[in-house]
Amino acid sequence: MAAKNRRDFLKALGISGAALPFLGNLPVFGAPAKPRQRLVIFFSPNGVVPGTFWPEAQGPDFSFKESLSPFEPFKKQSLVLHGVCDKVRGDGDNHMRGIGCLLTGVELFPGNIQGGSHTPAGWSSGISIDQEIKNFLQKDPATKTRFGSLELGVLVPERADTWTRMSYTAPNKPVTPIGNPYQVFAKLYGKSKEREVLKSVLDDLQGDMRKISAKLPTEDKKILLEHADSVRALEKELQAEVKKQTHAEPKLEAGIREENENIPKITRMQLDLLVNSLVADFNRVATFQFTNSVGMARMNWLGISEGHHTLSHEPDSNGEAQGKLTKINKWYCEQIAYFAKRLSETPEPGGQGTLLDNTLIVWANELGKGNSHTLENIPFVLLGGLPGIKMGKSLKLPKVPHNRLLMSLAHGFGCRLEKFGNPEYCKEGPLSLT
Amino acid sequence: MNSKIPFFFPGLTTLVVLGAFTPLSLAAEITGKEIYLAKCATCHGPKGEGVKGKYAKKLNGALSISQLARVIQETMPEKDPGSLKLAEAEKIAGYIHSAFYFRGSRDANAEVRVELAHLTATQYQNAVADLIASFRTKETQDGPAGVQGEYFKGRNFNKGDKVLTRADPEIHFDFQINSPEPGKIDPYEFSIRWTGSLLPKETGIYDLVVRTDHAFRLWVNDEKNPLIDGWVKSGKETEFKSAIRLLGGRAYFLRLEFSKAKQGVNDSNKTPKPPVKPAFIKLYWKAPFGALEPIPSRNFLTKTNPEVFVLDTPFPPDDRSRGWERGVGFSSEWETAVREGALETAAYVTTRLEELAKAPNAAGDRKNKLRDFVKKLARVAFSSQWNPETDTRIDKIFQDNADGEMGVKKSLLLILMSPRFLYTRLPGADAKAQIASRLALGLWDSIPSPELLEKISTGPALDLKFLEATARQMMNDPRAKQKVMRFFHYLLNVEHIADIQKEKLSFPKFNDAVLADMRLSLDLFVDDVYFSPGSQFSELLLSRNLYLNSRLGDFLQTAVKPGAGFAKVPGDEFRSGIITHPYLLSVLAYPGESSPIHRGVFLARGMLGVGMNPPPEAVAPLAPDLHPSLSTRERVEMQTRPASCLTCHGIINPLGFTLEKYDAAGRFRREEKSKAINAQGSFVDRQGKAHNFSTPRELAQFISQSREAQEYFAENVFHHVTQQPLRAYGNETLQFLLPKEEGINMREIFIRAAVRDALGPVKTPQRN
Repeated sequence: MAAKNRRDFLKALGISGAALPFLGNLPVFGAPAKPRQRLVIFFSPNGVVPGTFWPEAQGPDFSFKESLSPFEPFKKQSLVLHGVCDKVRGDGDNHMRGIGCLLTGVELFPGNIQGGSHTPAGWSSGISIDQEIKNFLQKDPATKTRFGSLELGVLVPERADTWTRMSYTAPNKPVTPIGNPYQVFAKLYGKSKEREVLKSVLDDLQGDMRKISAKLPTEDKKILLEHADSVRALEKELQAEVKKQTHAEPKLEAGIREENENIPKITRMQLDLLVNSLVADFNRVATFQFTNSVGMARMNWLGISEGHHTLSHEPDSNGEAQGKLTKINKWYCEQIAYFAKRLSETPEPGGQGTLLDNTLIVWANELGKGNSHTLENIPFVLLGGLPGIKMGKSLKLPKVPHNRLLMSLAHGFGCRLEKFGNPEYCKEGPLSLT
Repeated sequence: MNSKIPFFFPGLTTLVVLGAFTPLSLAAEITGKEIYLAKCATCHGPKGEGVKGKYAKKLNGALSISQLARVIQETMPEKDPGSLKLAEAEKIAGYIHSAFYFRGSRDANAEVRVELAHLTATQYQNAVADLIASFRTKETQDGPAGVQGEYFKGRNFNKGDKVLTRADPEIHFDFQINSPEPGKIDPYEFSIRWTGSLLPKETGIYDLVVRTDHAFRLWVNDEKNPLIDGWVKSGKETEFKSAIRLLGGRAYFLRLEFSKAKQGVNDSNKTPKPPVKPAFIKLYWKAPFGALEPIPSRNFLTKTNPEVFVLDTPFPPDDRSRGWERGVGFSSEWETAVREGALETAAYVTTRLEELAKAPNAAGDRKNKLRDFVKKLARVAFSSQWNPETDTRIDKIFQDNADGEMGVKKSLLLILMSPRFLYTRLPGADAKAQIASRLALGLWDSIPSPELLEKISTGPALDLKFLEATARQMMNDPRAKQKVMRFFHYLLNVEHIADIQKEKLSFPKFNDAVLADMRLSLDLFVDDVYFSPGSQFSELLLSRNLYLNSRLGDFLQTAVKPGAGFAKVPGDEFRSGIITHPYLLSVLAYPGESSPIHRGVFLARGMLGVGMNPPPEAVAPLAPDLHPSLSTRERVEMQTRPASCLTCHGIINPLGFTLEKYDAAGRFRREEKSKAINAQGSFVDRQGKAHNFSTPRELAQFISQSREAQEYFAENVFHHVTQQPLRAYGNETLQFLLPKEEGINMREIFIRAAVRDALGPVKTPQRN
């Protein structure tokens, strides 16, 4: 995998600060004014409790159950998809395939990572749909953005393996989600912050140069004065840049460490940063990964002291455990609802409606149900809007391969894939969700 | 090389002389100067500076007076060549030779001074690396070569599983289905952790390659983030690569962890156990100028070292208009690099404050600690340019910023972009610190360490013996070794050699690996001679020894034990120091044929200090196929026969011919095209004396004893050390560098150059 170190980080920021468009995208002149379209995929682990998750009714007249109740305000912009199955088989246990094939729709490579059962496996053998759509958007100057996509996480372990990665730029190339909000901030605003600091010292610097130059012979003096003039020019350039800044940077609470107890705070920070990034049009695609496959969040703030994965193994007969699992999933749902709310309160910059109207949120899970480890009926809940997908419904689909849903997402962006992942599961084309 | 000295002769034949020549009586009292001013200055200018629209080029070159006189007599004046008497031509030649024509007399009256200079790219990179290193444990390059291997019987390096610790010369193991330590380690599952330091010689991009069929992680110069994370084995890939930029001559933290086991859920207690799988682990690199190879033992150190700050910001190349690298003038590209470099350095420091400033996030007095850290850093960065006002300014920044980290960032930018850090020839208040700064720049291409500053400031700083002793000690520092290596690469003109190819038919065994061996062989040889106690210039030219490994020995048909690594062995009877080194001979040759011209130019310009320009027009060498019966020597002689060529080639060819017993890849030969080789050569010195050579050794003897060559070498060293013109330090400086009474000790020349510069462009001190 690609090592993310200081060098990569700097390179990602661009080689020259002067050349960097750090204040958002400039309008592309001459390009048709198309509404922006966005995709944000959320991941939470360990399956759901079907009885408290899936609506009973099909069609527009459905009611949310406990786990999904936070979506109530957005019911008209929701689409609950029951019956979508991860049919990818091959190496790796269901957790590994649950996360590793969720967005790639293709088998894992054989490898050395041993799960709790089944054969050992490595990374996914294909690109994930978020990266596929990102590449599609980045190819076109009219939809190209500074980052294309952001991969964010909350309490993703400091360990790169099949259980901790879901986004892939290519076979064997997993993307490391950024779990540290300060690092996200540095990625979004670091360069502009840096230049602000730079600007603040330039005056002093020039003064020093002119002072020293006074002691030098004429020829040498000329060099230092030339240097001082160049610093002065830079100062002016930076002042002009500040005037162009289009939006305020978010303020982050300082010193929040990546610890279990801080999950709610970090989640909020990450979501706020993502909203900012979408407003600034830094990216149009994002993934947001809560912990990891087999994730062990301990939601003490809900009065739950057991780890999530441990709880998820409890049988259906353990009512208390199922109650806690319902609470856990409802908590994840609340976070996504918060994000949707923020989007719904933000007018689409330079366009119609709100950010939510032009953003499709997809919430998915590695498993259908924790204690059975099934890859059938993977919870897919959609929120917001994307052309070609009619919202405000609950659908019960006939055990369709999830590859078809991944294709529908791409088609919504105009990326007319004929297959994605293992072609075996793509034969019937994208799901019709109109 | 030496400054470009254009040759005027080829142009003379096309010159149109305007104005009439006044016939002069040949009275005995007429001097060369008078004849020159009367007959030549109209076109060449009163000081040989050239006349626009007539003959615009400067008159300078490398012919002896007698050679020069002959050329003048035969070709001048343009309108009426041959009209001057030989005696007249000799007078003119005698005059212009000492007035402006010859290198040593050039611009004799022009003002030369020590100029304001900024840090060169190399110096900037070293300075920021050393600035940060001054807050870390000191680097050490002493101790055994190889890497430290810890062998564990479990899969995950548990302390209790460790069964063996040993030094491994290389990481190049194919265990197959066996155990690395039978009886103690089960071949089914084991893990190994290698630690130590990586010792790269050249600055540049290194490709690191791990080949393995199991889990591994490789860390280089970063203890936290792996350079390559191959813990997840996925698919059939068994080769993993990554690139990293390293500064040559420093030691870098290295760790490689290898685990032959399944990762994830531990199912190793399953019965029955599956059959044992094979395992291999190998660590390679491709260094700049190198071939892909297992990292050799000599580039490993079993001791670990702290991280080194390697700047990524590219700097524009430094000025070389005078032949040596110097940080002169101002350009906006340089200013941009300085700014980006400062930002990169500040970002590096602010993300490591806990380590560098010993200021943990939670510490109550963190802000004070950070401020003190920055003050200390400013002292190291500014050295002689530091003054109490620096502290006052830092105090103010920390007062104005509630956030300590912001204080660090702003202060760092101010320090790193300050002229006090960037420029090297500012008048300084602290004379002793200035001496330390100049010594450090001269010998290390870096800022003085706090220890050096301390030593100079408490010692008798103006005492020559004390300074020379200090410089002698500084010579043992790896940074000095690096600077010496760079000097020889520059002197031998091999700094930027990229792609040397040889014809497959004639040189079937020549490949990238042989070429890399040759370069290393040259480095080892130069290093050995230079750092030997005598450090003799003559040894550099006369030693018959070559550093060979078995591959290079095989290529050169010199007996070396199969599989042997590099060792010093006697070469063939004609080998004589650097001028016959196979690397140089290969570089100075065509893919199939030797090139007496390239070799001759190198000997004339690089060794003897003869200045010359490229030919007036590009000339393609005659194709050997068109003259199948001619030897290389005959072909070269045929092509350069015209008089306009011979002014330069009369010097070049006879030098180059001396090396004709070495083919295009530096192999010894007696015959070419079944004809015995004629390797007779010659050279006419400054005094007009002709010297003949029948072997390379005779030529090397001549060079090693030639005052011209010795002075040229010393002058080059001085420029490389100080980046300032020798002449700005007074006429006695050359004698100071090269006292006549002893053999030429190269290391002492370096030391004297640095010391002479450290004392400033005042009067050269007298040695007692």
